Amino acid sequence: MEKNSDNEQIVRFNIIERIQHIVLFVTLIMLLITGLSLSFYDSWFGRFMIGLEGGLEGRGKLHNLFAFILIGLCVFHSLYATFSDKGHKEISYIKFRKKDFKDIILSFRYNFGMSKDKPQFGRYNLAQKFQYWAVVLGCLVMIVTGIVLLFKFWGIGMIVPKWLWDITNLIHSYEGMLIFLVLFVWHIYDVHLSPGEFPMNNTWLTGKISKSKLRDEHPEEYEEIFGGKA
Amino acid sequence: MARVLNIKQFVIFIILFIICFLFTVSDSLPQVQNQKCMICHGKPDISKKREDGSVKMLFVNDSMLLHSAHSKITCYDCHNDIVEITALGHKKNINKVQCTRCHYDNNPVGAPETEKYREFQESVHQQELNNGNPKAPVCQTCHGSHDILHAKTLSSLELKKKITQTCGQCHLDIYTTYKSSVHGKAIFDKNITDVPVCTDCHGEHTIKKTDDPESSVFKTTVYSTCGSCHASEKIVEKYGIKADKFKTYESSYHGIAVQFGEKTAANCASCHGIHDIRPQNDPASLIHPDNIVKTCGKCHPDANANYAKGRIHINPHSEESGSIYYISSTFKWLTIITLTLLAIHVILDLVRKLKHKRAK
Repeated sequence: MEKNSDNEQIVRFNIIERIQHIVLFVTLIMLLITGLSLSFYDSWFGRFMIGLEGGLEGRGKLHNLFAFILIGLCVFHSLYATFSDKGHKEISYIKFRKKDFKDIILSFRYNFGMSKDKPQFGRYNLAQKFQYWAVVLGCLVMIVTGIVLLFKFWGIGMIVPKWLWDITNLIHSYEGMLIFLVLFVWHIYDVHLSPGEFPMNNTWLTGKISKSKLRDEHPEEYEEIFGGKA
Repeated sequence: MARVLNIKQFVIFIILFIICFLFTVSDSLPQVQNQKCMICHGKPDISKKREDGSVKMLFVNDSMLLHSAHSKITCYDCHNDIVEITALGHKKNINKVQCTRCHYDNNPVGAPETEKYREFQESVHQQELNNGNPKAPVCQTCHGSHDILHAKTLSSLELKKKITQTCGQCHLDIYTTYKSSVHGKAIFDKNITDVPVCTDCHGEHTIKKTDDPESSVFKTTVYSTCGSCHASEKIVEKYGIKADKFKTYESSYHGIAVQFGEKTAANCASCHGIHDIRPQNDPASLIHPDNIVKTCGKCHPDANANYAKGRIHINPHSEESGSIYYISSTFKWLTIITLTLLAIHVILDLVRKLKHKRAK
């Protein structure tokens, strides 16, 4: 009986949220591939990828295409987070709160074995919060700088002086690299490689989490749903 | 008869023999063989009227010939179609000398063997010859005929100056432009031999039309020709020019596009000029601050003052690049620090989770 209820699946993310996640990672991967192939144009990787992408011009068009899909997604996501009940609630959960700062210290102490108390996370744990806001900030920077870079190709380059365009260009490429490294090291570890998740956490497809895992990793949320102690 | 010859006959025979011997030896010296030709061609005013009315001077300076690379061969060796010379001269309509009569591989007369006349077959000049252009150059046009010299007999300065003049015989307007360019001034006014002359960029016998993709100054490859000097610290930094101009171009949007074969993307010459390259502080320079917007405007018709407000050839790794350098270093450190923290986090998390699993 106990075991049965432990394996019970609880829906965490609805279909709209799951589709947003899929569109996000598909566009990000495509943007990274098309972007990094320009950054590394001089290596076998760059030459090979640019060849696949239909030459330098094709690469640019592909990059722009996915950039506009990402912009569309960001607009939709902002509307969803502001105006839908579910989205609004999620944002209130993922916002940083005072307890998070205590949790940072606590998780360090816990990880180093200096404390036996495990930080009690809510619907989103620290890593998830950081990753979400890193993506928000990253997308914002990449979209703003990307649009400035596009000015030149739309024939309105004269709005931005060359030195500012150069800085924008630099930030766009370094920020892209940073996002790539952080997301791909951290997020891939969290949902694919970390013990207990390998080879893949299925939540992105099903939107579900098992009751035992919820109790283990999101005890505050568990309490909210089922009441009483875990 | 006991003796075949008497003493008198013997002496005459010996004298004749010596005379014959001397003639044979001396006749084999080119100067002596050429003597006959020089009877007429040694006169400074010898000339002939061509059919079109122009006059061709036929004087051959004997001493120039003696100092030329061909001092050891005779007139006949090149002008082999002249077989009979009478008191009235020789036959008219003498053929143009074919240098390849001797200059080919494994030739028996010991003429220098080279790839160059084969390279010439592919050149724009040979193409023009094939098209029947009467002004197209043959070997003699550039190398000279009776005054032909080995390149090594001249100092590199003399040689380089001479090359510009040689090409300038036909390409006079380019010669004048070049002479007032930064490269031309350096060689003619300052005697700097590091500068390129015509052949350094265009090639010699291999010279191709500029719109031939194999040309060393083709739109998408000319940057590497410029780079053969401008990427070398050893050559350009002597003259206060940064060698990183080449690398920074290569990694710029223009440079990347050119490397992927984009013919419309700007190459070195698009902004700096071709034969008219001038230093930035020269008011006539295409990259003088007053002209630079106009130069960008050649390809970007909407360019205004903002377009050129900033450095060009930015090296993010050089402190001289100002904000670009600091932003790039900041990002580098931000990335390193973030990844280090992340690595620590992942390792701690991994160790904890593995321990936890084992405890279970």
